[in-house]
Amino acid sequence: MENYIITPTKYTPLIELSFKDNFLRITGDSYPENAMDVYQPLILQLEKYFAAPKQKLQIELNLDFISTSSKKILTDIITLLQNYYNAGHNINITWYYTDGDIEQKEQWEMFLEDVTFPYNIIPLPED
Amino acid sequence: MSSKLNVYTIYSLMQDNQIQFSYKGPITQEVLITLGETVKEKLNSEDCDTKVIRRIFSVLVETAHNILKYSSEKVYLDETNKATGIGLIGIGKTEPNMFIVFSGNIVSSAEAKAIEERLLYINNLSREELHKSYQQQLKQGTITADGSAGLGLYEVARQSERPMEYSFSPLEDGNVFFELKIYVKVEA
Repeated sequence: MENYIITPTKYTPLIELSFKDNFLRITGDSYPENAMDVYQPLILQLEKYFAAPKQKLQIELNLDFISTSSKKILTDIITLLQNYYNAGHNINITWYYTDGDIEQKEQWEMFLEDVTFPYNIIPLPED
Repeated sequence: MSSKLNVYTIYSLMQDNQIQFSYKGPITQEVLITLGETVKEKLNSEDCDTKVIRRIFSVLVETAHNILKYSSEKVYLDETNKATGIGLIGIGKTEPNMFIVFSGNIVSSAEAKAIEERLLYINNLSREELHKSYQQQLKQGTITADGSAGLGLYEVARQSERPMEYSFSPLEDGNVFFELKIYVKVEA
């Protein structure tokens, strides 16, 4: 299976789903007019990814400026991931926040508070 | 023939009200990116905290998206063939340590009524209730095909230091001018 890569723009993140190396990375800003356009294709790729039994997926999220429409879709994706985890897949998330930005940290915590798969929310030093 | 346009009036108005920038026209995604980048650069150079920049940016994005989608004054731009809302958006610093993000656009009277109800509802929530409603909408709400999650004004309220200030002015043609002012505090 090919890797799924969406190159970033000023308002959409880099999305990389590696079928071979078992990782998903989303990096950058996300404030498109319609977040469905950006994330719906990823949701379909995840469906393909988890079509095989007992898949392992290491997820790394490093997001900065992000709109409510994108936040809503990410929440839905996390619910989907929880369902995949419940179905026997191995999932974990590392979510980076800007060091010292407690608001951002709390935001990511809110996204993950209901999940039962392993996750880390760790600071990323400011560049 | 000389134009009646007095640029100095616009300049003075902006200068007197400490408006750092303002734009009126179709709020396309491209315009939003430019505004966003300008804000980031400007605030970074003023040595603002990342947190404050993120707050202002967030308010800017949500209000711009609202204009883009809900302004009743629309223009069809080439390529996409999609209608883009026209409106006015800007940032000022009316008092020390306080940024104001303001926007104005024309909406139908029905839309005005719906927006006013939402604003009233959200403004009356306590900080805690606001957080809960936002969270609930995020987790249990649904996203429409055009990407609206019904979260924009909740997000704006969350970033805002004071209740959202707004007004609706009826226009001669039956439409309404909707004005929104959001205050974002610069924490020391």
